[in-house]
Amino acid sequence: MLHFRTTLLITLLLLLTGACSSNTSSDDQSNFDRAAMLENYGNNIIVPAFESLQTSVDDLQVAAEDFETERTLENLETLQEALKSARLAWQDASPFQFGPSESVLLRASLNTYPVDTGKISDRVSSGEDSFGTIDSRDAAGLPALGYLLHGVGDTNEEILSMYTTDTDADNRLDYLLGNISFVKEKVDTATEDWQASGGDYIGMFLSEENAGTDVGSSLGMLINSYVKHYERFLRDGKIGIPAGVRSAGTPRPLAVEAYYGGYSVELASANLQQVERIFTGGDSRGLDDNLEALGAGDLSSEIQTQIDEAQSALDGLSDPLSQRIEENNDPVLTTFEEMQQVVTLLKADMTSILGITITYQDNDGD
Amino acid sequence: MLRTALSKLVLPVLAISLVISSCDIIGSDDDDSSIQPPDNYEFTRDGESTVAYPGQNDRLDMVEEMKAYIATAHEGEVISEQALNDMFENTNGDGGGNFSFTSDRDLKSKTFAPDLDNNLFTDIFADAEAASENGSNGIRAQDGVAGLLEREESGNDILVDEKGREFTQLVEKGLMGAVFYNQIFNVYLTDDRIGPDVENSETEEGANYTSKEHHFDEAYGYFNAPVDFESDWPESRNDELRFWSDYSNGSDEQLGFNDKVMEAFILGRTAIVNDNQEVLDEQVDILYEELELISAATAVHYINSTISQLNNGNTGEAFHALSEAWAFVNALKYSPNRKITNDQVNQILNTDFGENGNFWQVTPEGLNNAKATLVETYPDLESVQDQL
Repeated sequence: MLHFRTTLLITLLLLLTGACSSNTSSDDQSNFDRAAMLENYGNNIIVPAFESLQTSVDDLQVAAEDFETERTLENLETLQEALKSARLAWQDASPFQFGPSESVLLRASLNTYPVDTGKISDRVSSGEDSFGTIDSRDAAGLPALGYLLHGVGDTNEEILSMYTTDTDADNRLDYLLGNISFVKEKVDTATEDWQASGGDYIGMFLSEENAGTDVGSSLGMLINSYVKHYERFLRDGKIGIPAGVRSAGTPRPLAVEAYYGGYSVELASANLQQVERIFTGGDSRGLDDNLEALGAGDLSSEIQTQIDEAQSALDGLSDPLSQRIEENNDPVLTTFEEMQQVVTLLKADMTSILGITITYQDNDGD
Repeated sequence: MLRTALSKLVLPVLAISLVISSCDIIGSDDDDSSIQPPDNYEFTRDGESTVAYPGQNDRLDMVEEMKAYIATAHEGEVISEQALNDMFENTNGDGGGNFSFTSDRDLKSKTFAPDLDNNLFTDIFADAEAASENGSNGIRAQDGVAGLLEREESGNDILVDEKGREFTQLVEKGLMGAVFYNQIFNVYLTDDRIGPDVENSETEEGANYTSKEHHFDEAYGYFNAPVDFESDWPESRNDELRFWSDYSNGSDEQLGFNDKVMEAFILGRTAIVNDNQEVLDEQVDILYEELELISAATAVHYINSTISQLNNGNTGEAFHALSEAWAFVNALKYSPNRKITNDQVNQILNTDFGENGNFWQVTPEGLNNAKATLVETYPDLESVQDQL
């Protein structure tokens, strides 16, 4: 009997030790309901972002088909508006480049810019309508549609003529429609993969198994994707690179997101709003609450304040951004600096408190 | 109630674990000469080490210097096919003057014979010279054109062939398979070298080891881990890892390779000392399995990295990663016990990684297909496939 008790005690001790080591530190430190936060992200922010992107791309396709049927100025304008809506909807989905979106290369397919207008013209003339290769990346996606709908003429009358009387008119329209089908296929696949009714990635995202903070956990993937997006594709891609911060100070106005449509600031602003919404979790639990629960309320407010600073600097710029850069680049560079302040807070301070490892800078060094 | 339920569950488990932990003692002979497995890969006879693999160290050094030579082309230098062949054959014992050391060993004679039949490496050397001429003339790589390609994250160039494949990776990682794995799998772990008929009682002339011991150590030498290599390896000691031991460590967190491989090497070597063929064979089976899995896991890691870099719009980074993936998938074909078929390897290399192996034509569907094939073939990868 004594023997039995002793072994039971030892075993219990072993079990306890084992249980402790598999727990993550942040679990021990707070009662914060991380599962509820993930559910908020998954069900209220991520999946709806893909669903509204899908809806707006569907609308874009309908508008393009209407334009095909009746090539009028009115239908051209409707189509231009539909493109802008889709590009705005993309801003809400773009920070989530992991799982289904990454697996179809959603960002590279939908939003590679600047576009190669020479390549687009060549492809239009030759009737080349294959999309999805590396070489066609800068001749496809939403920015290429921006060129096709805003950049092929100075006025809408001229643009319309490129789809009616120009020698390549039919080819150009086919290319436009083919490009939209390509975008739609990518968006449909990613959206359906997320949905519970489809690939049910949301189920995996919300599973207990992935509720930790380790490298493969849902929060680990979300934050890596989020911070990487902010750093490389919002701060650098939308503002820093066009302003010349990655080209020894030589501005690259053509490298703005919507050069031909002329609404790059509006897109960047929408994207930054989504970045803030992701931080706060919208109306429900978010990273800000998680930080507060871990005793880092000061950091949480600091991040929020700094995002607001960046937002007001950005909103102080006006479209078209390419013209601002050419006329007076200083406010654009100041905006970049404001945006830069957020990077350290998110990437170093926030992740260390949450216990998240940044993995996207893995570099072999070979 | 809880206590009863728990004790019902716990007692059998405890009993089993007691049996397992006592196996070591029961299993060993009471023979005076038999040894217990040491903690490290360290074995002695009369107080002197019996472990030596200088030939393997030499060949690892050769691959390292070949890679460094090819990498000079990244700076726009022209590299010579002749020099690469001299290094491959170790002409005059110093790679035709291209090695910083001398050695009486060479890589070519240890290369997987069908690869030699197909001129796999010599063709790559010839292509590398031609590509480096393009590079020195400022020709940038594109679909169908060999030349320099920028790795977007570092801003450094790499030299790629007309299919976008990076020469340093094809050669360095290619030889890790065609020489190192080939020698482990098809030479040193076979019955011919460590079977029951191999001399294991008398030491070799002028040496402190038996032939059988030495052959096994040569396999270990191609893995080339520090004697105390283990899981949770400290980052501060990463520079002690070379080639395969480095890649073992690369996926150790997900798959525990370091401990598994080291335990098999240590137990296998102990079994040779104890002249226990049965235990040795068990450990050899584990080595075949785990070493193959390291290559498969590393391939999945680089496929993931390729997908991510393509989605970042970084073609140079993506092709670098895909060149690595190419070589680690290719390395799977060297094991006679491989789980994957040659057809599957060919499908991945020549179709999934781009039609006709042309990286410029790679699609996300192809990459996902390659990954799915690897995960299906190696079920251990399934739960960690997105973390690798």
